[in-house]
Amino acid sequence: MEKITRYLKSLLLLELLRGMTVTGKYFAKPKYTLQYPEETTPKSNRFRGLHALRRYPNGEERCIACKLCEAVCPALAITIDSGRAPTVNVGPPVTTSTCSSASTAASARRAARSIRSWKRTSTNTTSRSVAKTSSTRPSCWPLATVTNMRSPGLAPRTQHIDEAGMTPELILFYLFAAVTAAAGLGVILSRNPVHSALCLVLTFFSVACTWLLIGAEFLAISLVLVYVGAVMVLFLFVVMMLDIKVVPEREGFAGYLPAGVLVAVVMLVEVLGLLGMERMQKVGPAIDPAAAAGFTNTEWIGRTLFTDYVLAFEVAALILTVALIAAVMLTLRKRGSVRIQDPAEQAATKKSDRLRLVDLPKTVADKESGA
Amino acid sequence: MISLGHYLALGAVLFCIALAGIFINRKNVIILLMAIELMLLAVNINFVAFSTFLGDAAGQIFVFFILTVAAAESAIGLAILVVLFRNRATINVEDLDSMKG
Repeated sequence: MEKITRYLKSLLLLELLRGMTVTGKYFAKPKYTLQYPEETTPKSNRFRGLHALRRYPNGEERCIACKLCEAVCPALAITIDSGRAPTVNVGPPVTTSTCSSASTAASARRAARSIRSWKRTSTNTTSRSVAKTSSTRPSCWPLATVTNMRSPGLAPRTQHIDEAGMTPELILFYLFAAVTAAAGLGVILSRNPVHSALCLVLTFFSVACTWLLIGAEFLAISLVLVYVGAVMVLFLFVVMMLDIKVVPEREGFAGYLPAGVLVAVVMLVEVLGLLGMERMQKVGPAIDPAAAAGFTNTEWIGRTLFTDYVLAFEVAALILTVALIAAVMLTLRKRGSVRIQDPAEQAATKKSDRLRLVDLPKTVADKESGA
Repeated sequence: MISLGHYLALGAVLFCIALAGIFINRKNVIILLMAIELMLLAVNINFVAFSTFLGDAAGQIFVFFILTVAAAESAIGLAILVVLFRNRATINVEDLDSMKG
């Protein structure tokens, strides 16, 4: 019986109808959202808008520094300094009707800009940005409302970038650093080991470029030669020699992802926090120490390497030799089935090794033939 | 101007990427070796930066030796990997548990 009821329910699409009822109900109700820049909500009666400096049509400021607005402002937000344009600090939106009624020579006036659009930008409207915005609308400015005003935060922000001093070197450094980080991510996230190895090549190459920027030429070139030329070829060789199945190697990827990312991010934040200390900032721009000593970079390294560090240099050579022998011995295998010649053994062979004289006893046939 | 902090930050970012790589890639020893190479590279960046900005040649000499040791390490590591693959027919880290580690 229950089965039949359920069957009928699903046949008559009751769930669907119920769902459509909810949709229809909300469809008929009044809407609360609005298309923001085109439509706006009604403004509060207390809203007075953004402070702006009014000008005459010929561009001259109308403010005569009478300081009436400064005196009347209940939030002490207006500062008049004679000789300069008035500064209006619009931190808390407390523009009151007293402000606009006090501005006889019209320093502070309102613009009908929605309050939330300038909240997220700079909260300190300086005279510079006021002057900038007012110059865009000279003709209708004396009217109390300006509807289409630019965001006041724009002018100070662009100036901040100029102060940071983006030299071409710095731009190049950021470029190489971005490539390095992206290629490093490619190494660890790539599905195919061949792609990982190629990304590693790109990482090493761009790091070598960043070293060139601070004058470590010898190491940059040897990094490219040693890594890109030798080690990466070795990696690619091994990757291609081994028959690795690509897809099954990625199982369990998601399981380790959160732990790995957590540890890496925590560590990064810690290290960058240490770098943010003031002591680190005080190390000045790179003065090439090799050039200061009167050498090229390669000469500078060579002089130090073959005087103070000559023993370490020899040890490094020894390490490389040991590594070479170890790598060969590890991968060497003897196959029993292969027949090979040994020339030394062949040359050292004597007659006695190969030839054996056997005394045969005389047989009946010999006696007969001899007789 | 480029400061010491820029290079140290680059080194830190690269080191952390390599660290995350070691955590993520538990299935492929080759990628682990590559992540170790990335870590060594991050250390080298710091050495070069300190050497240049503090005017001491020892930092660049050490990078030279680190390059040597890293080359030796990757050669031996890959040789071990080849022998391993020949004997066990896998490079999955989790299958290599014959010592019950």
